Amino acid sequence: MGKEQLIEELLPGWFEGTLGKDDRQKVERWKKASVGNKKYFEEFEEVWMQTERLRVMQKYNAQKALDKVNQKIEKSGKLQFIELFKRVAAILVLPIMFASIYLYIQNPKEENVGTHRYTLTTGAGMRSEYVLPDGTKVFLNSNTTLSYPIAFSATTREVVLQGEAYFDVAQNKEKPFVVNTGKIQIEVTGTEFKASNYASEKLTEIVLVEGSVNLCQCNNLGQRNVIQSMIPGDKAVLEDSNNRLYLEKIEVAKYIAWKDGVLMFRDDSMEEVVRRLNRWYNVDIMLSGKSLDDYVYTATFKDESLIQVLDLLKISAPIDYRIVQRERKTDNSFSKMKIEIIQR
Amino acid sequence: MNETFLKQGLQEKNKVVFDFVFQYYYSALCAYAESIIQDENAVEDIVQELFVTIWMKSEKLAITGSLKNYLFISVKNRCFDFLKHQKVRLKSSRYFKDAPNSTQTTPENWLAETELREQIENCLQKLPPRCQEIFRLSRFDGLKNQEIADQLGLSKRTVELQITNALKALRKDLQPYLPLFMLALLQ
Repeated sequence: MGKEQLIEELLPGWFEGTLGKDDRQKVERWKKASVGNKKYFEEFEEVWMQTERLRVMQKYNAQKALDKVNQKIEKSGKLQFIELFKRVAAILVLPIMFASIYLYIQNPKEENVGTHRYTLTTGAGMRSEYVLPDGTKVFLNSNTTLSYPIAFSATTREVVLQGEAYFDVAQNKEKPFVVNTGKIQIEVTGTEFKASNYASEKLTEIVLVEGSVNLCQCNNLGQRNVIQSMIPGDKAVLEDSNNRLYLEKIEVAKYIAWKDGVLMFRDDSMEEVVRRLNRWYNVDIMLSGKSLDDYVYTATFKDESLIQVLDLLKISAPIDYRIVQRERKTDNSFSKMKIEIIQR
Repeated sequence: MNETFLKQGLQEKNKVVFDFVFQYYYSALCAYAESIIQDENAVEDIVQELFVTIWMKSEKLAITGSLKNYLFISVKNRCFDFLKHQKVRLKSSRYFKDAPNSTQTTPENWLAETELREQIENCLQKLPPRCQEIFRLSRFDGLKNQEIADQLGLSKRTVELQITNALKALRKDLQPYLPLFMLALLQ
């Protein structure tokens, strides 16, 4: 025991490499003397090494490194997205379908720290189709913005919509897909529906095609509460003015035809027709004359030009139209095409 | 911490799980890489790239064994690839000159920083303050025994005695936690 005591006291110098020649030999001889000694020595060596490892580990800052990794992921994510965009763009060769995409990272200030978002945007009169990272298919109608986090959170797949979109949500029961439309949240696990909340229309509209969805609103504590469940064929409308939710049974086809490049009217009033034409062709149609309340319109258009559509309307109802000369704006661009429909 | 949950979380691109795994293992993986390659600057890139790949290719991720083992083996492979390219020789530390391939490069006896610190701290807390102080200066601040002696106004022999006491205590306490000891006992 006395001998071991002595050897142990030499070990700090041995590990440090400052032991004199005599002492070094002493340790060597002792190590070789028995298997027990050797094992005993190796256990000390292991402790020495483990403490050395802890010292080395402390040099590395995981938080800083994680920020870097997030940046790298963002960069390669962008590249993947550009590849996807190329493919989608190649498919959508229909002349009326221009896929326009603005990919930018929003300032993370308004988001949780470190979570960046992608934003998809379609210009006026354009429609486009995307696949989100979870496999959900999205069709964006004209003038629409959809943003989603680079990485969905642990519990939900939340996207924020401004405009009109059709969702074919990838199944994932554990992680509900939530469309935040501002006034209302649509919670689903896997289904097909469309939602719109154009600011100009002052209402939020949801049409369910397949599966089921829950409409939720957040209380003051930020908890989501279900206020209405929907079944296929339901249309829910929430009006900004009174925050009331109306549910009705509808023919879904005309609400979602746009995603296939089809403009569909089914017993729609002239006002509704004008509203949809404005968005579809990015024009500015004004109604004048007495309102034709008795007339409803049913028609399906696919590749027709606006003039062709107007000519057809002219045949089916007592109206006429006039194209107003475009104005040159101060920045030398032209205003939207203006058309006046005169109801007789 | 449920391994299956973590592995599944990585496969499903769960950012919370990803961040947790990253922060839990990052420093240990870096220290491990540093023990294999000499280039300190390359260490962090190697580990970070591994995690970027894990995230980007999450759907192809196939972790059959333990997550810890998967991470350490991946880092090891990446280090060896790096060495192949750099043609740098394996790091030979002070007293592991002839054994660069043995205990240093097997990940079995590596712990994550928090685990290792907990084991070591639990043991050190029980030691007298002076003994702790000297051991910390030696092992964590990297001072030489003579430097500690000068700084504290003690003899070098006293310093080395205190370090020996700490090492003895650690040897006793760490034994159940360090797999190498198990291996040594089996041999």
